[in-house]
Parts: sequence; structure tokens; C-alpha cells
Amino acid sequence: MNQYAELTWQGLWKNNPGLVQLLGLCPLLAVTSTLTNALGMAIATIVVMVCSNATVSLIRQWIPKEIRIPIFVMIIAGFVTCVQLLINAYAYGLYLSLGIFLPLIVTNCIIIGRAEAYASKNDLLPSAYDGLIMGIGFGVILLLLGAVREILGQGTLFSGAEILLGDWAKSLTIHLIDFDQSFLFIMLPPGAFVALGFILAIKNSVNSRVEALIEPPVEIEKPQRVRINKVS
Amino acid sequence: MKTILNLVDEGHLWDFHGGIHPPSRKERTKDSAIVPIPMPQHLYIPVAQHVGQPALPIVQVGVNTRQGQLIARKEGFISANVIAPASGTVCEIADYAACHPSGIPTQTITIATSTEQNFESLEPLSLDDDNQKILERINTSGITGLGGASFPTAVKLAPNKPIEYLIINAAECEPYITADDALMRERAADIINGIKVMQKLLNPTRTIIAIEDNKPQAIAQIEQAADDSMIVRAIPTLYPAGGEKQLIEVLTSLQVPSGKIPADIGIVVQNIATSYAAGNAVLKGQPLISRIVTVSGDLVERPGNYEVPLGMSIKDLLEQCGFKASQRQKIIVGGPMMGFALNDINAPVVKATNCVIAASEQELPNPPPEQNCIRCGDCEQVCPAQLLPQQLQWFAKDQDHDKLKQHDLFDCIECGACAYVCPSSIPLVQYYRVAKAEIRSEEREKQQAQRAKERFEQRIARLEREKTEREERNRLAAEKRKAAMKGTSNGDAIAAALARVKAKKSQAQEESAAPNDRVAAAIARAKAKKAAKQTTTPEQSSEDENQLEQKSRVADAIARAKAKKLAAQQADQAPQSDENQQVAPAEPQLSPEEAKKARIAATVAKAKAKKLAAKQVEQAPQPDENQQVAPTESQQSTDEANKARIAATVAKAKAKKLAAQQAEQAPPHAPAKLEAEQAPRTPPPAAVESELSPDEIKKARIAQAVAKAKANALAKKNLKK
Amino acid sequence: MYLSVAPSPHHKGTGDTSTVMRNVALATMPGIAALVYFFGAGVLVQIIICITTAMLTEAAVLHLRKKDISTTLKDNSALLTGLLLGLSIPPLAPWWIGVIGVVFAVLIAKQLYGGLGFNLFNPAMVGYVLLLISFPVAMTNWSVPTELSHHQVTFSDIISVIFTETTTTGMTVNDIRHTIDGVTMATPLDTLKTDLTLGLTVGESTAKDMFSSWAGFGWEWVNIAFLVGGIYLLKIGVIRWHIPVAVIGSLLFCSLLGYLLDPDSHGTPIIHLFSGATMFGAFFIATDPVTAATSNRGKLLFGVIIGALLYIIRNYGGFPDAIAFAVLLANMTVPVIDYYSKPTSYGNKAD
Repeated sequence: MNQYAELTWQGLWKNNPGLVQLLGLCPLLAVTSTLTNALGMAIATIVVMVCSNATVSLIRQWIPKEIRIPIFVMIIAGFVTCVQLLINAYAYGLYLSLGIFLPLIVTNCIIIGRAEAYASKNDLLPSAYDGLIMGIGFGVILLLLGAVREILGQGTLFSGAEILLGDWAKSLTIHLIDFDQSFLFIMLPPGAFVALGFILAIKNSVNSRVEALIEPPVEIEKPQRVRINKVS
Repeated sequence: MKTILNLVDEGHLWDFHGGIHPPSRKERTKDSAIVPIPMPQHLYIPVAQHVGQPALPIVQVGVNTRQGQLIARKEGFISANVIAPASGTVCEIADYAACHPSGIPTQTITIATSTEQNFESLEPLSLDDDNQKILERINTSGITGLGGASFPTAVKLAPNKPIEYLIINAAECEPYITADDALMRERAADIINGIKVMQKLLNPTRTIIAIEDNKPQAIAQIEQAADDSMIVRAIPTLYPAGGEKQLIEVLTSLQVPSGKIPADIGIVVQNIATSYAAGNAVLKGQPLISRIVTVSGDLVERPGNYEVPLGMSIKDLLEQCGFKASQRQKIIVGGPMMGFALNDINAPVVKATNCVIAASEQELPNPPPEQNCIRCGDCEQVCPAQLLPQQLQWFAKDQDHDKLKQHDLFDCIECGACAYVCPSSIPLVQYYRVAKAEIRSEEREKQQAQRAKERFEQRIARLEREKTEREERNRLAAEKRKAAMKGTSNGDAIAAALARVKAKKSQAQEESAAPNDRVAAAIARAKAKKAAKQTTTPEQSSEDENQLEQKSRVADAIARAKAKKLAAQQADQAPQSDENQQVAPAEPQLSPEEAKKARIAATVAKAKAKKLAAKQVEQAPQPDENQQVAPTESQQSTDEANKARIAATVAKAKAKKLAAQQAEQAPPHAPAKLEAEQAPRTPPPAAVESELSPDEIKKARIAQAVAKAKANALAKKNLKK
Repeated sequence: MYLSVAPSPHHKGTGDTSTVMRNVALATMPGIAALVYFFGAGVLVQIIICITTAMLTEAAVLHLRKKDISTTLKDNSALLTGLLLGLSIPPLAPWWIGVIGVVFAVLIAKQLYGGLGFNLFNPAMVGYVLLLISFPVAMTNWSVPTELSHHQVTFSDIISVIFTETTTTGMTVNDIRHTIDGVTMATPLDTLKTDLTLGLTVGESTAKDMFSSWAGFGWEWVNIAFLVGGIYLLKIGVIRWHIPVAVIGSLLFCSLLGYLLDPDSHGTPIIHLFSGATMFGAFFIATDPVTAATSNRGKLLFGVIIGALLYIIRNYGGFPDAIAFAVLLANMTVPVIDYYSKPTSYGNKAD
């Protein structure tokens, strides 16, 4: 597999930040109560990831090893501030809805993890692509969880989409189930944990099959032991 | 405030924690009289049927045994003798099925019994005999604990501590077993005698015989037979009241501290059958050759209490009792709570076998499959050692050895009460046994690793030590050598080289030097050497030798200088010795070739002499034994070297004479000389012969050869050194 | 000749997990009878729904875990979980309430921890708490005792309410919950709590119709019935006295203290002991062996904690009845209790 294909495979499935690395669980559980919120967070995270990875990759030669983490955090914080100001300006409803979790993207371990593990050691384009694909991988999980929680909790999809996408999106709301009373449990973080757990279980159960498809196992000829030490 | 002793005297009994009431199932054999079993055809006696070291067989295959004879001797402090239970022939000493849950074969002496059993008892002792003698008798008779643990009795009865309570354990709390019951009912008097023997040995403050209250007849018999020094107590029926620690707690409220033995708190507990056997051994001279075994279970037609010769295979025993095999059965040796299921029915009856149960599936059904622990805590309620069996089970499954030790796993007496009550049918005791074995083997491995580590470290230290010693030795040797060389041939070599150069230079001038003067100088030198040799004693060190050599060299140098002067005056040419040791050449006029050859010969002889000298000097600083021998030898070698040199010089002189004679005819052969000096070769003495008289030639040749030979021999000797 | 070889002991006492669970289920019969008498047959329907769901869920999970289904189902633990949860939810709750609660209890609170014996929290109570938090309205719509009820509810009504949320005559659950006086009724404890927040004293609140001379109409008899069942369990040795005595004792002590200090804003001890799910909780919920402490001392401490928490949450917390929360909170403390209440074993008394 060439480098970009490998990065894609890693970012989306094998090393998915939300399901395999289990990083960034705080925003994952907190903002996915509706699909719109999840979408907003996903876009913000992707933007920050791409930009910060690219920047770190550009200046990686001049970063002293001992203080690299504070420098990464500074870079990420810069980009998050930009994104936050943009959302504040153009999607105020979303800004209010995301609340404190928007600035908390700085502490999202995925971003700093990729900066440390990949961007600080690789060239610009692969790093930027890595940031993009990891962000997309995280975003997919955000959206999935958001959808599940919204359907089970409120019975709708895309309710409140206008805060992100504009007034036209009001018509996007889909009412799937009509509850008298919402399933409050799933709307709360414990429910998110349980839902995430189920998604993780499903992923793990099909993991071997998917891996066999993408990365067919190589037949290793097992060496034959002809002399074994005495085992007490 | 009453002491424990007072309370004991009053008949007070305490409780131990927990305990269960399994159905006793003793009805079948409770009232049976003891029936002796006829001797079977073969007896199988394992040499390791007791705690401690296995005994060593002292008989061989084919030897006849007499009933009561010693066939395996105890080995080590904690060990027991093994007695032949029957007269017969030893037919095999090999691995045989063991009466042990593992089923691993163990060394067993097989005796083919003869039809006639001749038994000779040992001399009966009495209670007045010496304690040592009594213990010795118990030892010889191979008495071990018959309650199930098989600890050598003689060791237990010599605790070297003051004993307050001697407790005779007649509780027999396990279901099915009635062997001790029968013994008490029928042979109470002998039992009491045996207890008296133990009392004599231990001298306890109180003797208590504890019997469970489900044996009223036995209690009555024992009470009748006992004397006033013995207290007979009926204790409530509860499993496992017969466990040593629990019995002590019931009778005296004392608890044996963890890791200690009862003797540490002044208590000795003996099974009642053991005291019976000990009494017989001491007072009747009968060694341990049989025991009472309860045979029970629904698959035997004639259950009862049988007097079985030790070593009888369980198969034979069951057949004697009318065993009917069913489709699936369990043959249990011991009771149903702590006994083990046999996997080979040929295993023999050993000293610890107090019961054999042949049970069908209906009588003792297989337990249902193990389920999850529901943490009900029933096991905790019944544990007599007050452990937490539930936690132990979790940790044992987890193999968490630290927690197991923390929860006192090794205090578990493996009574099986916890597994009995477990609603989930978890085989708790098995988990503990496995965990204990794992911990023990882990500790053993750790000890071995520790020892290996120590040995490795010691080896490294030893190698280091040797290395430093060797270096030290070499350093000292080098220093000594240097010191020696400085005093002698170091300067010697340089001086010799200088002299050589000078000699070459002056040869041109000295060709014409007065032979007479040179001869005189040579003679003077030789004389000086002789004198030096005579003055040296054999004990002198080579240092002195070198000094003398030095002196002679000085003399030579002086002579040479004089000769030079003469040469300068006379401008005569004669080959000059480059070696200080060499004598100045004689005056004979020889042809250039002859002169060259003579010079070659002289040089060779010189070189060899030099080699010898150098080697002697090297030998001088060598240590140890060489030092003693070397001086004398080097002394000798220097003597011989001197002789060789003198001979060589003489030969050379003669050769030079010839050369000098010829030199007048031919121009000086400086290049030849140089060649001669650079490449010492064995010169053909033929050249020399032509000019000298045959006799002289011969003499010269002989002298040369002799010198060469000596030089060679010495060189070889020195090389070998 | 076939020799069975097994480790000792070869003798097995009678006493079996499935028997234990079955005995506990049997002991709830008096309580169920009382509930049916006072609140209608809805209780039975709920119990049936819950037990069925529990068995099905357990079978499904065991199949996924590739374990033997029949042996595990035979140990009756799923049955007991379903039964206890079915008793706890309102008799006229919709069917999916029971289903969701039981699925969550069996799947997440029991099987995901490892199955019987491995769960940390009482599964029935976990299910109940989930339902209480998620569907507060449905869970607090308790029926009126039949004697006081305005409407007569027939069995077919019950079925239709449970499965379709309306009666055959078109009324909702809320409509049926009116008493003769036209007042919507909740449980006695609920009423008491609401009244206290409204400023009434305890005396005034308990003067209402629904409080008989004791502790709440209908509920006191239910509690007594459960007490009888609990004593039966003690007698046959399925449970030990430590937990129930500790729970009741500590609740009695706390409520006595509260009542003596401030009778106007604290319910009487009798109300606390015989109202709500006190007896049910003390004998059937708290004594669940898997989630309770093991040693006797530990059990006492466990019971005391439950009793105290029960009182505190009832009086100062946000819920009228708190047996589920108290039990779950006490379950959390069990590992610590177990660790510190380890008895000294034989021969170790010196250390």
C-alpha cells in the first residue's frame, strides 16, 4: 500500500481515534446529543487538525525536543482560537450550543497526539493528509454517535440544523419516532458511554473480517523447531 | 481466675469456628468386630509411606524375609523404618502403583508371602526402661502416625520441650470410618498401655483422651480401662473435630500459632491407633505389621473393620470383602471428606490407610458441574480455620500468590467443609491444593535462582582475583627482569655493539699488530678468566658470575687497548675479537680464505657463547624453583661456556695463525671478514687443515667440534628451560 | 473397571444455587399476593413480561458468549432478577418499560460484568434506576389502591393499558389515577414528600385518606407481607439475619432520631418502616449475595449503610423512595468493606 492509502486505512479504521485509540472521548460524549452539534464539532476538529499538523510539519526541524509539547499546544491553541472566532461570527447558535467544548478542542488528545506521533516526523503533505483523515475518522464517529443519540433520544434527525447550516436547513429535520417522553438516559453522558460501548463492540466483532479484506494476512512459513531446551 | 488447666479438669469444652454435620454413614460397620484378613499372596510395601525421607531398602531381590524383620532403614532425622509384614521372599524392588492421589509409581518392595509365617517378637521392654531405649524401640518398629499423616512417632515423642497436654485423638470425625471405634471397643487395655508408654516419654501434666460422643461403647470401654492419670472426654460430634488443631481448641481453647507445631505450645497429639501400635512395640515387642482398616461402601458385601497386613493390595482386600464391581464406581482411600479416589486399584494398604470405601454412583454421586461463585459466604461460616474460602478461591483462580499468602492459604487444613456446603459445587479444596503447590514450586525455583546467582557472583569474583594476581606476578617478574638486565647485558649489548664497530675499524689497523702482544693479551685474559672461575664457588649467584665476566671483559678491554697500541705501532693485521670474551687472535699467518674461515668459526663460536651468556642472564631473575637450580646450572653452563669459548678461541687463534701467514701473500679481506661476521656459517675445517700440521688441524677441528657441540647442548638445555 | 477419580470431598451437602434462588422467589409470594389484592392484577402481568424478557435476554447473551444456555438458565438467577424488577415497577406501566429495564439489567449490569457472581451492582436495582431516570413520569404513575379508586379497572383494561397505554374505554393511565375524591394519587411517601415541600406538617399530611392508622393504605400490608416472606427465608437458612436486621435497625434508629428532634418535618418511624419498599428492600434486594458483603461483620456494616442512606435520601434527597439508590451506593462500598472486615484466621490471633 502506498503511503496515502496506508494513512487512509489507519485513520478511518485500524487506528480510528474514537474507536481504537479512544482519544477525545470528552467532546465525543458531551456534544453528540444532536447530529448538528456533532457535525459542527467534527468540522471544527478537522480544520484544526489539518492546519496544526501542517504547521508542525513545516517547522519541525526547528523545534527543540525538550519543549516540543508546549510548542504544539501553542500552535493548536492558535488555530482553535481562529476557528472559535469564526464560529462565533458566522454560526452563533452553534457557538452557544457547543459551549465550552469548542475551546476544549485544544486539549483534544487526538490533535496533539498526531502532532507528536506523525507531523513532527514527516513531510508537509503527508502530515496534512494524516490530519485530514484522522479528523474525518473522528468525525465519522461523532456523526454516528450523534445520530444514534438523537434518534433514540428525540426521535429526530438534524433537528436544529439551522444553527449550523443556515435557515434553509430548518426543513432538513426528519422525525423518525414519536415519543411521548424522550429516553432521557441516552441524552445524558452515561447513555453516550453505553452507546459508544455498543458501537465499539460492533466494530470489534467485524474487525477481523474487514481487516482480512483490506490487509490480507501474509502466510508465514512457520519454522520447525528441531531442538528445544529442556523445559522444567 | 481459673486457668485453662482448671477448666480442663472440670471438664469444660470449647468450640472451634464453623464445622459441618455430614451424614455419618457409620451404621454398616459401627458394631462390627475386628476380623483378621488372611495373608495374601503378595505384599507391596512402599519405602516412602511416611513424612520425611524415604527409607533405604536393605534387602535384595531373592532374599528371604521373616515377619517383623527390617527391610528398609530410615534415612535422616525425620524418617521411619519399614518392616516386613510377612515371611516370604522379596521378589521385586521396583516402581509400583502408589497409594497416593497422584498415582505416580513409587519404589516398592514386593514380597511373595510363604505359607508358613514365622514371627519372632523383639524383647519386650517395660515402663521402667530408659526413655532412650523406649524411643529406640519405637524407631526400630517403624511406628508412624496412623491417623492419616504418617509422621514418624519417635520424632514426635521426643520434642525436647516441656509438654503440658498429651491428647489422644480418638475423635474419628469423618463419615464411614469406624476403625478406631472397633479398636477401642476390643483392645482398650492395650491402648491404655500404649498411652502409658507415651506418658512415660513425655511426662505431660495432663493426658486427655478425646472421643466423639457418637461412640458410646468405645467411651465406656476406654473409661473402664483408663487409669486415674488419664482424662476421658466425650466431645460433641462435629466435623472436623478430629483435626489436630481443632481438637486442641476444643479441649484446651489454645490455638496453635500459624507456622508452628503443637509441641511449641506444650501439646502433643497422637492418634489412638498409634498409641496402640507404640504400646505393642514397646511392651510386647511387636513391630508395625498390620492395622485396622474399615471397608465400607455399597459395593462390598461384607463391610466391616478388618485387621489387614500392611502391603496388601486394595484389590485383594476388596475381593476378600466381597467387592462387586459396577459400571462406574469410586474407590476411596480414607474418608469421603479428605480421602482420595484411587486410580489404580492395585495400590497397597499403607500405614495411613484407615478406610477403604467402594462406592457406586448412587452412594457417592459425582458432583454437578462447577458454577459461578455467588458469594453467599456459606463457606466462610463453616471453615474451621476461620479463613475466607471464597476470597481464596478468587485469588487461586487468579494465581495471585501474594494475596493468597496474605489470606493465610497455608493455614488451610484441607478438610473439605467449604466445598461440602458450596451451593455452586466449586471444588474449593482442589483449587487450594493447586495454589499451594504452585506457591511451593515457585519458592523452590526462587531459591535455586538465588543460589545460582550467588555462585555466579562468586565465580566472577574469583576470576577477577586470579586475573589481578596474574598481572601482579607478571609485573614483578618484568621488573625483576628489567633490573637484572640493567645490571648486565643491557649495557653489555650496547657496549658489545660499540666494541664491534671499533673492532671493525681497528681491524684495518691491527692487521699488522704484533701477534705476540695479542697472544700475550689473550693469554692474560684467559688466565684472568681461569682465576675468576676458580674463585667462584658453586653457590654463587649468576650476579657474581656476571661480575666476574665483567672483570674479565675489563681485562680483555685493557689487553685490547694495549694490542691496539702495538698494532698502531706495528701496523700488523690480525683479526680482532668483537666479543669481549674472546681472546685476541693468535699470530699465525694464514691465507685469506683460511683466515676468513677461521674467523667464521670463531664468530660462530662467539655467537653461540653470546647466546648462552644472554640466556643465563635472562634466567637470573626468574623466580621460584628456577632460582635455586639456575645459578648452579647457569654456573655450570657458564663454566662450560667458558670452556667452549676458550676452546673456540684457541681454534680461532690457530686459524688466524694460518691466516696471518697467508695474509702476507694476499691483501686483507675486509669484505670477507664482514661476510664472515654477518653470516656465521659452519666453516669447513678443511681450509684450515691445509696450512697446519695434520695434528694441529685435527686438534683444532676437534676443539671446534667439541665447542660447537657443547654450545648446542647448552643452548638446547637453556631453551628447554 | 471404570474408576471415577475426583478430588475430595466426595460428599456433597444439599444446597444449590438454583434452589436458593427458587426459595427466594417463593418467599415473595405473600408480597405479590398483597400487591395484587391492593393494586390489581397489573403486577402479575408486569412480572410475566419481565421474567420472559429476562430469560430471553440471558439466553441471547449466553449464546453470544458461547456458553451453555440451559445450565446457566437453570440457576434461576435471571428469573429472580426479572421477578424483582417486575415487582418494583408500577403495575400499569407500559410494556416497554419492563422490557427496557430488564434488558439493561441482565445484559449490561450482569452479563457484561461476567455473568452471575461477577457483577458489582444489583442488576434489578440498576434496571430500576435506569427507568427512573429515563422515564420519570411513567415510573411514578402508581395506581390507586382498588378500594380507594374512582374507576373500576377490569383485567382487560389492565392488559390494554399496559400494551396500548389506553384503556378499553379510552382513558389513559393518568385518568385512572384519581381517587373517589378526584385527587390524583401517588404513593404515600410521594405524597408526604410533596406535602412537606408545600409546607404541611407531617401530622397534617398523614391525616389524609390514603394514610390509614399506620403507614399508608395498602402499602403497610404489602410491607408486612414481605416481612413474612423474609422471616421465612431466614428460617430456611437462605439468608442470614445480619443484613435485614441491620437495614431495619439503622432505619429505625435514624427515623427515631429525626422524629424526636423534629416531628413536624420528619415522618414517623412506622411510616418509614412500613411504607414504600422498605421490607422488600431489606429482605430481598439488599440480601442479594453476589453484591453484598461476605463476612458477618461486613454484612452488618453494609446493612447499616443502606438504612442510613435510605433515610437521608428520603428526607433530603430528590426522590420519595430511595431503596434502589441506597442499595447501589452501598454496593460500591462492598469491596472496601470486604477488605477491612477480614476475620483473623486460626493461629493468627497474635498479629
